[in-house]
Amino acid sequence: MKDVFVTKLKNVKKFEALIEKVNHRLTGVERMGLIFSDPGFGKTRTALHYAANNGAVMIRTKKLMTGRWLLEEIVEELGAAPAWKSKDLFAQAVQQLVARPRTIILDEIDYFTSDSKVIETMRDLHDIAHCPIVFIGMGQADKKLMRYPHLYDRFVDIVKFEKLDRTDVGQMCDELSDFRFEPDAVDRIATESQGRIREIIKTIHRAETAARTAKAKTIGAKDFK
Amino acid sequence: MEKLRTIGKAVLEPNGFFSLDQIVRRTGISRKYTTDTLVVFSKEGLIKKIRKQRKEHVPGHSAMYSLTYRVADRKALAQRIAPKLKEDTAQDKMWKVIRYLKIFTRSDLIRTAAVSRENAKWYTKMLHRAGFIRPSRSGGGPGVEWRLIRDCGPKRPYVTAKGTLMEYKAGLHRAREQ
Repeated sequence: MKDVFVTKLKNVKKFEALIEKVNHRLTGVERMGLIFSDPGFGKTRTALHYAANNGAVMIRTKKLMTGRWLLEEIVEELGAAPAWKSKDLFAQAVQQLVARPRTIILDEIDYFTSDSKVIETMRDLHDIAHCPIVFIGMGQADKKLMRYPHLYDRFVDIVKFEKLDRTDVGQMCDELSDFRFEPDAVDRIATESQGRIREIIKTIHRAETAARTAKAKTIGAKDFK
Repeated sequence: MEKLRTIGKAVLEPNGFFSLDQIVRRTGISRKYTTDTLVVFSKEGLIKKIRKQRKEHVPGHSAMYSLTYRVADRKALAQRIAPKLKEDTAQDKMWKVIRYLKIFTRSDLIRTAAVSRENAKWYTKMLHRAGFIRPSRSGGGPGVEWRLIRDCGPKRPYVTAKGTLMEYKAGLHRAREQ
């Protein structure tokens, strides 16, 4: 199996479109975005791939996180030594983002949907520093965030990651595998994996092992055990 | 820059107050250069001068003072004396992925950080030697999971002249060498 990040998936393209929308140069237009879906559709990996290759700051939020803790993590990730007072921390974060604008990606935003302080702090940071902020959440994140109309209005785009369909699975088979997958094999993977990336990769790997043992060049549905 | 780093490290070593004499003795750098460096650190708010005692007058020499300081901001001082690193390198990308995932395979690094297999292999080997990561099982082989056991922050560990990895916050931590 090849170690490549498949960029031609529909979800990845949606993510890239959202990033383009929040990274605009227009004045007076908001720069917040929301990505949500059920687990296993590649939200975190796609965001991490973007963050690692484009210098964005990605933070995995925690259940116990307070506004101060989050600000401290943001300041540290931005490359400064966090100050002691919350006021100074916020000023530091703004200063760092103004000096060198970067996209902030917050994963597992669901934890904060019941904590207005943290959510409003992120809105303040966005409004004052004018930095792009992308939230990543679980299945119902959009509905949970609707409770904060001031925040929800600031989302320039809301993207839902969908299950990978047959085309996406075919694309993954083409790009990840050293073997050629027959259309019936792709259909079977698409059905059995329920569009979840981890399952698709596992199935491709298993099929490759079987094909290697059988010294086959192509993989059909019959080759699956 | 090397002298400044030596003085900075000497300042960070004691936990509490230090005097000019102590730093001169510890570093072996001239009193004049040390004084100038400490003045710079004071102006930048990294250390604070708290006392200035007159020393015994030696006939034929100008009056010498025993200055006492304390560190005002350890983290900022450590960052000030740390070497300047290139940004957005392959190592930066890999370090970011490692810090986020905590448990990872080399394939994760290659896929997510978009680096070559050789690069990922070299970096995991270096991090393992320096004690930053630990493999899930000994003996190696494909599919080994690595776990981050020492996280030194967003600034990646840098490669020293000896070929070992060192934490960015120089002076606060020491590199583990094998």
